[in-house]
Amino acid sequence: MAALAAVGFAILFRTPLRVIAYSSFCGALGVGARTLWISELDPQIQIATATFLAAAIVGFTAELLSRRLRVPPSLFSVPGVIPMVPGGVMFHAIVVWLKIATTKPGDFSPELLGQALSLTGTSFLCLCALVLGIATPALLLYRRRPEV
Amino acid sequence: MNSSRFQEQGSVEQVCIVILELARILLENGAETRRVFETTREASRLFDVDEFNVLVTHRSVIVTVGIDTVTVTRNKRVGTLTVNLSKVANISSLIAGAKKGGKVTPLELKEQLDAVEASLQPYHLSVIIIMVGLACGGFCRIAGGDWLAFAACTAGASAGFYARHKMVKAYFEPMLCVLVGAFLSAMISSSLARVFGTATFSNSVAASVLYLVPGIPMINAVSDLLKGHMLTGIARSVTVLLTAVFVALGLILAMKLSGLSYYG
Repeated sequence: MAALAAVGFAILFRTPLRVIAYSSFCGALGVGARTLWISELDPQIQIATATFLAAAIVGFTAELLSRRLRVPPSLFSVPGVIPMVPGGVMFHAIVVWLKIATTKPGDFSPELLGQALSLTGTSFLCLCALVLGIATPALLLYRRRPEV
Repeated sequence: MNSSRFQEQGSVEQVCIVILELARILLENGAETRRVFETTREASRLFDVDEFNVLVTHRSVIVTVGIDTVTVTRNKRVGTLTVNLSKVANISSLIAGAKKGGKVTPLELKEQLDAVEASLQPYHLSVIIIMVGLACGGFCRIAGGDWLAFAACTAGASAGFYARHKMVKAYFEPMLCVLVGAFLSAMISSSLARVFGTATFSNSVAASVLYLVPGIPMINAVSDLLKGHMLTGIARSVTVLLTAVFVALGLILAMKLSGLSYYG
């Protein structure tokens, strides 16, 4: 299913046809790795940490594939991590924020605020983890490449 | 700029114009700041420049090129940021090919860039619509929806995507397109989910708008922030946040109209 989601997004982002199969493989790999990590290896792990590890795996796979196929690694890594973007959590967070905004000042509830903060924090951490994860190979392998 | 006017420019000007064009195409099609830096640097090496600098902001690019005693600085507007990874990949392979092939003139490179810019969409619209629908259906299944919810979600997402596509083509405000797309997707998928009588109603509605979540801009925004391009990163993050708010608004509107209270 994650592969399906990754293909859909790869096509939405107009990835070239010859690399689409690999992009979808990366998507399935990422979600699979994250689910496996949470369910089998370490049930106590934070979702953001699991996301980072899964994204790093996707990043290294993308680096290998890009060397073999001679295209930029982002063609694999970005569609590969899109299924892991915490869209549902982010949406939930915004709904809760809007709920806080629409309650009357007297009915303010700390639980709601706590919920909103935790959802926002989780989704932001997940996003950072995704980006750091796919940037890991570049940070490790091309340390000395100068910036312009 | 057309070719005849381009040829009247001095050679340093030509190099500058070509690299500026390259940076613009990259930015408009979903490349992050770092990639623009690296690719333009590679391109500048093709022309033996002595001095080279790029400044990227989220709506414009500035390039400085110096050869011998002549230095040229030019600046260009960048249009709406969309995503088309085919073009980014094509430009990368174009530069890599030029590096291997030895010398290119600015004019040759410009013609190749024009060809990339004019290249057609690699996929037919109907393929994109169906795949977007299936992708959202896939999300719905990941989130624990059943096959009936999958069907409702797929149909809703496809319809919403088509509507948004038509609105973008008609030059409506991008945020308005997002709002209408989210509203229609949620409306259609919730109605269908009710007709099918699925047990996982809310999954189907929430997943049907996920195609609107700006994944690549979001990743680009965070990756700009992490690599120290704060201004671009903040500007991109705000755009992403705004899009997310509009998705939520469309969804809430649809939930009110369909009389459903999801998340309270």
